[in-house]
Amino acid sequence: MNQELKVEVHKPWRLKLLIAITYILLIPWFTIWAIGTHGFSPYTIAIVSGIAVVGAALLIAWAAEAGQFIVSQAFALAILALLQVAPEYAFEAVLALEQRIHLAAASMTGANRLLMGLGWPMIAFIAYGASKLSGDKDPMTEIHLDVSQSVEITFLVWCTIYSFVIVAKGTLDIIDVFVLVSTYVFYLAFCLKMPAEELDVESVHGPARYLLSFGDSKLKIAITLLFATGGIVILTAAEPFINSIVEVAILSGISAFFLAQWLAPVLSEFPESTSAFYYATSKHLAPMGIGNLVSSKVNQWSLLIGTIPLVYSISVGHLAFIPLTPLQREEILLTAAQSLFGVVALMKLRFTLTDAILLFAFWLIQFIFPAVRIEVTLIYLVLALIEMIYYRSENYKLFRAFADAWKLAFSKKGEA
Amino acid sequence: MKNKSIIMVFSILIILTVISAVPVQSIHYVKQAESLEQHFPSLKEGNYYVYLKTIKTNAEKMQYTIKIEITGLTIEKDYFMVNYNFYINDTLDHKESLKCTYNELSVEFEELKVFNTSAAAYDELSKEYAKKYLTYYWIGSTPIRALVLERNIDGKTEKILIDEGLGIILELDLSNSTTTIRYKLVETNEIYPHLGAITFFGIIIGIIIMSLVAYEIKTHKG
Repeated sequence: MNQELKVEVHKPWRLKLLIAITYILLIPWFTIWAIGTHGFSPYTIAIVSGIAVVGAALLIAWAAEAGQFIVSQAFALAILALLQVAPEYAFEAVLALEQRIHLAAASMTGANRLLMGLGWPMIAFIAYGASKLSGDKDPMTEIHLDVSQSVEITFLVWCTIYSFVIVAKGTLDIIDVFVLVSTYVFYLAFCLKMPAEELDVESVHGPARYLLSFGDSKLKIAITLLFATGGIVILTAAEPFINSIVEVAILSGISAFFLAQWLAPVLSEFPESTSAFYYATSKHLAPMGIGNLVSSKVNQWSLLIGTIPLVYSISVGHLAFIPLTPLQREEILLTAAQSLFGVVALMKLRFTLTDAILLFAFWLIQFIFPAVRIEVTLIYLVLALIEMIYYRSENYKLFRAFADAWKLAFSKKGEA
Repeated sequence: MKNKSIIMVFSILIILTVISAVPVQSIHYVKQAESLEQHFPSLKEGNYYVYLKTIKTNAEKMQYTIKIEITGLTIEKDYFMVNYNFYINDTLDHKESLKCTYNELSVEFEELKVFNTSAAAYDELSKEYAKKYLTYYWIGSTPIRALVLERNIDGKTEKILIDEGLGIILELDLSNSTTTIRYKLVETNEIYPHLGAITFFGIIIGIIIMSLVAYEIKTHKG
């Protein structure tokens, strides 16, 4: 879908400077990497590699955002979306390869809960704040979702149910790999069967927009360069970063579980959230912001979790299952319960300020007081049940929209 | 401009190195603390295990409650120390300190042990036993995946169920023709007893939603 793009960029020097600064942020890491990390303390490595990971994730996010205009929809869905979450996958892969399953579970559940407990509410808060600041007489107290987003939400419901099954089984194994990876492949196939949506260049902002102002061949070179740089940094920095934050945690008396659960996801999710938060500032684009984060959540709940037992098996040299400790089970259960409340909140195809406040409040409570995770889990489940009953007449919007999408995607021609 | 940027970056690098040189400590501590957390996940200060011990002979049946409470865990380069209190029927019987190396298969609290949960350690352990299979065990409504090991020593049969994730003994039967001694785990602060029930609640809500979606696909004309 190579198309002629006419993109106007306001103050391009700012965007050039932003890309240049991002590249400068990578220099300390490349220097340490070239010298060898042995001579440096875990604190230095954690800070320098952490900054580099954020820089790399930004470069990859910009390249992926611009890249969707020069490749086919299938490629954009299958590859670019995956590349955008590469830092997160890298962290999980390193932890699974090193058989640090307790930390892999921490990072996986932390990333999931951060996205829904902080990312989703932020979209609603920013949308409300932006509409209020712009003098809107009717500030945005809810974000209306597009009916096409029923596909992501329904897949998220399925992934959420399956995550409860993982808790009940008490293991992560090859069956989970099969179910979750198949879910992701089916999700991709479903999306590809849907009518292609026109990409709106006006929704692209920041350095990605600047890249789109290039000519066709220059654009391809720039995107390749950004992906390559980001990829090299992720490949080289992910492992030292993970090792160093564990060392920092132990040396400074902080729980390694806590740092792996919150610090790694904050850094790896920063770039994709930045785009979503930008969309939230506009009434027209806010649904896209929440849609992006719902897609990320499907990605995390399916492919990310599904690949952990696979990488672990590779690491131990035979097909292996991962027995989950009670703490890991409680953590996954809490994440699943939060996810259930989140998807139930979206079933009416509106995301209200009240939903956002509830998601944020309970995320904050379990973040500050991790010991109350079982109580918070129960609250999420009860809230999901209440919300389901309270909005029962509106929830059919999701089911109908998904039924329409299903028929559109899988009915024979003329039948739909 | 270029020179200034390079100088700035290297200055930051030098400052960071100098600041962080102060708290650099033995890397062994970090590695050992981690390996302990990974191989003996339930071995934590403050954790406890409560077992019901039953001794059955032809003449009588006696029952005691045994509680092992970990009161201290010290990590050194080549070994770690575990301090614990041993209670019988809620009365402190004695205090003990164990010196253990990191690659040990198990840490022994009298007749009871906490096993190394790494896959390799289990394989090594199962060589000592004639029979090995997996089963599910329930503590309250919490499903636990257990490793069942059996062996015969000096006319005595030993059957042991170990939680695969935590290495805790769930059940231990020692029997010969005249006596049976059984240890059964009844409580530990590592396992939350209602986890299964909550999980079931979540699954039910999810199934209701998916059933509604399926119903709509079937009935909605679009």
